[in-house]
Amino acid sequence: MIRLTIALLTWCLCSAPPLAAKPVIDVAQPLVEIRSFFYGANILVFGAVACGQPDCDLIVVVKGPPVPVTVRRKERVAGIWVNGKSERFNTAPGYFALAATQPVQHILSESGRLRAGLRDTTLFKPNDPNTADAAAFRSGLIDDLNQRGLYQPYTEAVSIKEGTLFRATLEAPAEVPTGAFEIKVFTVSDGDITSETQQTLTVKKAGFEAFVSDSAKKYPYFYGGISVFLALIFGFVSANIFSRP
Amino acid sequence: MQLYLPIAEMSVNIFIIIGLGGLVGVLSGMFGVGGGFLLTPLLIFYGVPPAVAVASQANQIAGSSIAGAIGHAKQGGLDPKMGLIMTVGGVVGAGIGSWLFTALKALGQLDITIGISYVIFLGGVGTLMLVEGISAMRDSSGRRRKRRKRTGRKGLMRRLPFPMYFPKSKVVISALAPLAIGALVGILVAVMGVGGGFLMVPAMIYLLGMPTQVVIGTSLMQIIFVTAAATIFHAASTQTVDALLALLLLVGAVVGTRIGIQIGRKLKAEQLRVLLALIVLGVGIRLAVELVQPPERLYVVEQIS
Repeated sequence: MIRLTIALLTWCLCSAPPLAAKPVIDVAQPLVEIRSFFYGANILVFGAVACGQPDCDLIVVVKGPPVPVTVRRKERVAGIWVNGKSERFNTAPGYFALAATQPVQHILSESGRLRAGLRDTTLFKPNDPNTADAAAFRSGLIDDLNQRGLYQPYTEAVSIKEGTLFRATLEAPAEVPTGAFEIKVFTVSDGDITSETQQTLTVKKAGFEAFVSDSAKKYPYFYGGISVFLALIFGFVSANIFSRP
Repeated sequence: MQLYLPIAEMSVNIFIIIGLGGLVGVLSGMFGVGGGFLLTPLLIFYGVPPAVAVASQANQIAGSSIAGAIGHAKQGGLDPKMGLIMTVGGVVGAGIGSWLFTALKALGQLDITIGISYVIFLGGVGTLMLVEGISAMRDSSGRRRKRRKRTGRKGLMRRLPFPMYFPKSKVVISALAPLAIGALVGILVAVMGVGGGFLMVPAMIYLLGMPTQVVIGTSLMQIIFVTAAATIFHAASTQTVDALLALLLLVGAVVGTRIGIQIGRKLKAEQLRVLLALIVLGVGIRLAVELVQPPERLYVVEQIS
């Protein structure tokens, strides 16, 4: 029986066509928990790819859940910079990081990037794309996310060992949004995508952090009351400690 | 050591936060001021979202004020009737302020409003303190300055409707006066995250004509109830109260205040006052520069929750 399995496995591995083979991928930590001492996470994506040839190219993308945002442009009113015109983006990913063996423009054609959903224009679609400055608002949004480490259009963080084992580490800052993350690994050949494999990852608050933020949302009056109570108790106790001779 | 704040949704250095609370606590112990008007801008400089800074500060002030009230209780001095009316006004004001806060947040103009309010406030308070401090420094060498006329506005306060006798303060004034002052302070508590004592104390002395012995106790009573109400309003409407942030600040503040009181006893009051005025003006100028300077990034992103 074992022999048969091994034989089958070997047969499978050998007969797999090199280009069509989907890589086998996994993520080291499928659940990222935000706890008290959380200050960011490293998302390690690894797996096996059966591309064989030495110039095998891979693209690893980690995309966070859509976070609806409003982008406002500052305008000068009477010498003071205030928020003026705004544009909404309902489906903007709250986190986006891409790692590849080479810069994406070098290995993937325009249409390939479009099909893979890797273009900024598809990732960050304003609710009202007809506004004249939609592009300006988009680049403002991308700039802001980039600055906060929430948008990483390209890192070289993919390494392939002996043409089969790959790993990519993508950094997420402390303010990473919570929710379901989508991990995609693309194999690329001749400027086009040859395969696509998906995996998911969940980021959520856990422990004390989750308890606090959940109760603040679900029972706001109770949460507010407890916050006041704690502060008053603290003030009361500390005053009594200090006032002792 | 980094700590993740659940509501602010950011990782902060725990020692810096306690340190900021402590620093402002020292100043507040030295000068007998609340210090909220310095702590909120400092939190904003550190990177805490202004809305979270303001709401959590209201929470923190409730705690530090009760500590102050217990310390003060030994000297007595409280006008409960006046305090009650000012508290009622304050809670209504905090409700109005919290509504304004929510509306401005939805319009995307909250941060800028907080900034402008602080510039006006710190500028005004700092200038007044500087002028007072400098003239006090001059006078301390010569003869004592003539006391300002305490009952200047009492006539007007009496002419308003609903006159009321306040036995503890021994004044007859319109009930509307403390109600209005309380309400104004309540709005400031909710919008700016300050206790409002620095505004309320002079108003009680000069406008309401209350004797100085009861002023501190009565203002503390009002501050405790109004900051507590503002905290609950903010928690309910915008969910911006970070209790963990408030507690960390409190730890620093109560320890700092004790140290500040000790330092204050050993140093010359007039020079200290000028120093505090300069600090207040410095923070105000820093905020003003941020308002008028061309921003580093023209586009600001705001998450909709």
